[in-house]
Amino acid sequence: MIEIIHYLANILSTEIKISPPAARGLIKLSIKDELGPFKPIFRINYTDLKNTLENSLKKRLNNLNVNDSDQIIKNLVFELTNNQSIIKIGNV
Amino acid sequence: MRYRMIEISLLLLFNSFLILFIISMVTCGIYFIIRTIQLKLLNLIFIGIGFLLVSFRFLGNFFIGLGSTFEEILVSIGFIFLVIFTNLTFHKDRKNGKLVVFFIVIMLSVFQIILDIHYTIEMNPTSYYLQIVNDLIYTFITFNWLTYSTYQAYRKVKNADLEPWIKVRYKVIIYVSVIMSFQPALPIFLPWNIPIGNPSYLSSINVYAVLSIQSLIFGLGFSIVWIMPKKLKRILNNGYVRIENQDVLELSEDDLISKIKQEMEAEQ
Repeated sequence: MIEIIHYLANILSTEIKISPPAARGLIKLSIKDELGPFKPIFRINYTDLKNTLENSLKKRLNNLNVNDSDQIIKNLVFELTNNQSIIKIGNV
Repeated sequence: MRYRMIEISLLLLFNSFLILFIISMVTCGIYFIIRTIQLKLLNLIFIGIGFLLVSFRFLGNFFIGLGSTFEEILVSIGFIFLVIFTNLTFHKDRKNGKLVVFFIVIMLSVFQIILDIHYTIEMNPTSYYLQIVNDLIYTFITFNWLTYSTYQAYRKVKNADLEPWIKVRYKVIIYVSVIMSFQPALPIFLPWNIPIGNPSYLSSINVYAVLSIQSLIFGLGFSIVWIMPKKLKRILNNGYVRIENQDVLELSEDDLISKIKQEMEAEQ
């Protein structure tokens, strides 16, 4: 799961022009918003992460006044769907 | 007499390859089932059960004599489960040919079982070669669907900032699946009425040799990359440094958001 977060954070960092570690932090905060603080990170699956991007991360991007957050989320979900195997192969 | 001894020794060697293959399949199958429970990754249960079914087929063949049709059913279910694994691992929420491949493999599996029943009733060259050709097509599709899916995924991640051992896992899955996809091709070169591994025929031993080596490569390759020891992961990750910024990771939520805002403003 850490691997896919790194992967998506690198994309997010170029989209909204922040550093990759800051983008990782933003995604991790969104995961906490969406799934609560007690779900272990290795138990998060593809659907959890997709919902996180579409709901919590989108809200956080809107709060940060990011332009075109819809398109950014769409790109991230597209990347997640295309690279879902990172969760299912890299997490085992 | 000496020649005969060499043949029997070779057969024993190839038998031991197949036994190693079965052990690796059973180990992988059990490992995948345990990981399914631990990680709640549904895709793993299918490959876990699939591997166990295929290894039961070999065990049945070696020790119990389940009968070829029953063995064929086990392999067919195993292959269908492998396609489900591929679809769940690489193609969830994607609109591509995943269902087409799934239904083709189901159809060919059913056809294979029918051909097997027909062959047991009426043993003749046509029935034998039909069975081999069908087996070749559906094994080829099943394993190369996994190869193709893994290759497509690997192409996207090969330059990404991922730990190298994960990329090695992708690559090994590609190689061993290609090797396995051609497994049923060899019996085509064997006369229809000569069983594989018959010590009286050199061609039969040769076919058995290649089959057992292919199986061994697949079994060991798959086991090593999935049940990868931590030491091997460390060796593969040697020289890899992930760019981390500890300052950012240790920030509180408010401080992190402020930092993100600062970074965004600095860029504008």
